[in-house]
Amino acid sequence: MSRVPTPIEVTLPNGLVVLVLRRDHAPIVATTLLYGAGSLHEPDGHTGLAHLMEHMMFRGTPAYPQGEIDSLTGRLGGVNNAVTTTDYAAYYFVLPSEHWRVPLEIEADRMAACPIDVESFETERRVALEERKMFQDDPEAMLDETVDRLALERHPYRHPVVGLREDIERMTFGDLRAFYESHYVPNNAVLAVAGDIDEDQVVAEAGRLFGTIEAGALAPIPSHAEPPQTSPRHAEIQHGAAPPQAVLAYHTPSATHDDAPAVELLATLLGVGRTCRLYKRFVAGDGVASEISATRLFQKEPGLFYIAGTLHPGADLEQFEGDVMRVLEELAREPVPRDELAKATEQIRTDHELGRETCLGLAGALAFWETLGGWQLEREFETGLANVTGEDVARVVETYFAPDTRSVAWLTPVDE
Amino acid sequence: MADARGRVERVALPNGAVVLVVVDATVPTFAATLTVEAGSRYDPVGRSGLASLASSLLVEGEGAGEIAFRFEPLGASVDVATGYETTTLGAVGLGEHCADAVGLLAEMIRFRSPAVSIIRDARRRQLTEIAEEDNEPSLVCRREFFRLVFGGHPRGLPVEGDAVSLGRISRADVSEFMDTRWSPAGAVLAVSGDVEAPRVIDAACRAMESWKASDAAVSSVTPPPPRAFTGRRFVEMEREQAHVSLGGIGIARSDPLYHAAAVMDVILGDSAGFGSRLATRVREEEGLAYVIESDTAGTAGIDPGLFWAYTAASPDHVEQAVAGIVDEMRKMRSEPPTSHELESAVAYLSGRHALDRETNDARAAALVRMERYGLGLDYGDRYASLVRAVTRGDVLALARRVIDPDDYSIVAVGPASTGLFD
Repeated sequence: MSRVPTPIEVTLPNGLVVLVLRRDHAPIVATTLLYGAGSLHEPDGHTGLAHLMEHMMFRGTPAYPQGEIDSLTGRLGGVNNAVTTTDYAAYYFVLPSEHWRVPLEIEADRMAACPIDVESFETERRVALEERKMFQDDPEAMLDETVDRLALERHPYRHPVVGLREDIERMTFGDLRAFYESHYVPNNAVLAVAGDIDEDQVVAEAGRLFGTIEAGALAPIPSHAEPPQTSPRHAEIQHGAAPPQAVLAYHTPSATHDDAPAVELLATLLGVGRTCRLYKRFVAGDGVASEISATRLFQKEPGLFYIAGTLHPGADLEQFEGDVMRVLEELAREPVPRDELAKATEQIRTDHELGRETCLGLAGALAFWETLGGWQLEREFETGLANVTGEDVARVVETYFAPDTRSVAWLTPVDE
Repeated sequence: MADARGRVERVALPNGAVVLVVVDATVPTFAATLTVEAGSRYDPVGRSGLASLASSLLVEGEGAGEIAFRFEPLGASVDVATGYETTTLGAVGLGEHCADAVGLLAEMIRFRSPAVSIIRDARRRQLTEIAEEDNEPSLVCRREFFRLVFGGHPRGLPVEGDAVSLGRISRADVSEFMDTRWSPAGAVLAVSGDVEAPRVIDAACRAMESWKASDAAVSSVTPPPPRAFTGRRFVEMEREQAHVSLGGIGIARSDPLYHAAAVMDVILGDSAGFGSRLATRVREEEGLAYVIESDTAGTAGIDPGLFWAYTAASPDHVEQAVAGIVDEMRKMRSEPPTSHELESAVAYLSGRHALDRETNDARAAALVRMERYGLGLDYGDRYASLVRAVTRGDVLALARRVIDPDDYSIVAVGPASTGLFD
């Protein structure tokens, strides 16, 4: 049975959804303000815009001049940061709970008016270019980018969130301003607060601070339906002297699809712990790999499921690819034994409980699921997980992991 | 404020091991760590990587690895980490399984006599991981910086060893290390979570009471050099950015100025706070780098650690970024921080201390540090007053001890065009 806690939920007249959850284990409060402003929402040819906007949000507001948001957070004994993903940009604070009003004041101020100036924009563009270079120096990041571009021909999930160098260089101050005005509006945001607070006070204060901000006209998300993949795709990149690596990507449904729990269970059966199928097959004993993983991203739209392995030098990447497909074929052919399924279910349940140890974990999960359609969806997802059968796993493997729909990227060392 | 946490229960066993348990029923989870004094600090000369290789056998292959497999059907997971000072077995899971888990951890640490084939497989995995790290310029930069500062002392050598040292390690070396270093003397088992303390303590005591220290002599540890080997080193790697580490020897955890070091880190270059002097100048004002940080307290341990600053920037920016770092180092030791900076840093550290202990895993790790460094189990309660007692003069004294803008070690890793040492 799901243990997702129930928050107080209020939608302000301007569309901002406010979720508040009391957790009084420690005098801590966490806030997450999540905007539907990820790389998914960038206009074509403007990769990196959502990410650069996130940088700009720390450049100050009328009430909090440059540096003051970080400085004030520190003086109060807290931390803050932000992250941009394919689907959203999330801003968070964790503070001693007596200061719970402060993040609300800051967030309301920068939602109402983030005074982007040209000079700050140019400085942050340089920083973003350095961040992009950092990714380019990371072989695993480059391998992931390669397989995303290979598997997705149209959908914006094919682009790196940090942006492509040429797009960052080409970006204008006007592009950024327009993105802010069309996405950083209350009717495109969710505020979640969790911690040792009085829920009614928080709701009232959120209404007072955010209620005067006008709703905006949301830019429609362009349709990017990905055409079905009917034949396997391959690419190879070289990067330094890295050991050989391979990533196999398959098209899987969105986080809210009925099959999402079975796909999640599959990821655990394949890639979590030392008793999972991939570890036992490829890493344990004298296996060909030193590391292996199976990852499904929780995304708003259909995306990719990755199986990635780092092989010992000299290992055969083609052989590895074939052997991974054989592991999947076996899962499609023979339903997973009940005890193996129970183990994976228990692993996921434990993982979810561990995520609820912190106020930030609670606030983040509430905001995240709300943007997918409602915080209650996490409860439905957990209930769905508990009901997944071996036959369900076999069915999703057969449906989404056909050999012809795979995209595979290899990383090999630069030729001497 | 409500607080679901109980007081810390401490039991010292006759064999030297200590059990610490704190109850927190907020979430039905637990974390347990079993720490032994078996880090790379104790690697014999020419055998760097031995502590790491031995510990990997705890979770891989037959023997101890099979014990680890008993965790997973419970939804729990176990992992092992070896650092310079210690090897730590850690388990997390649902609280109802905690007593079983501590029993399994105690069983695992008494694993001995690994088969040659298991050592061979583990060594192969470790070599591949080293090959991966060799391709990461930030990790190469860190590794070479430690080597430059501490020379051939274990503090200067990578915990995971290298191809040559791992190749020298025999089964006898591994067995001897396990016998002598995986000892109950100094071992700490710490548990935090939704557990019944008496039941967990009972399970831990029963599981560990027959764990005996070996009769074999424990080799002595040579202290690290008192003064850094200063110098400069450039490692060419064709990449977009150049990575730079610079600094020298820092302080030990027992140093009276340890809390002054924590304060100075926040003011100068704590990576968690973008408002530090280095981040403000190099990142926010000049836009030269995405990553810019410095640290002193983070590596302070039984032995002195480092004072070091790190950044990564394009070759055409890196010289200006390093000049900015050195200039801020000079300012840090030329005059004390402002009262405002001191007050802000103290407030930040006091609040952060509580925030950083929100998870069971973090609380268990904090208990281990309190026990190992003799901080007292009330250290968490005293921490705020300890940092409040730091004066501007303390920070200046600390800066003058560990920072020397005219005589520091520096390592750069990047493309030939880096030009830093031209």
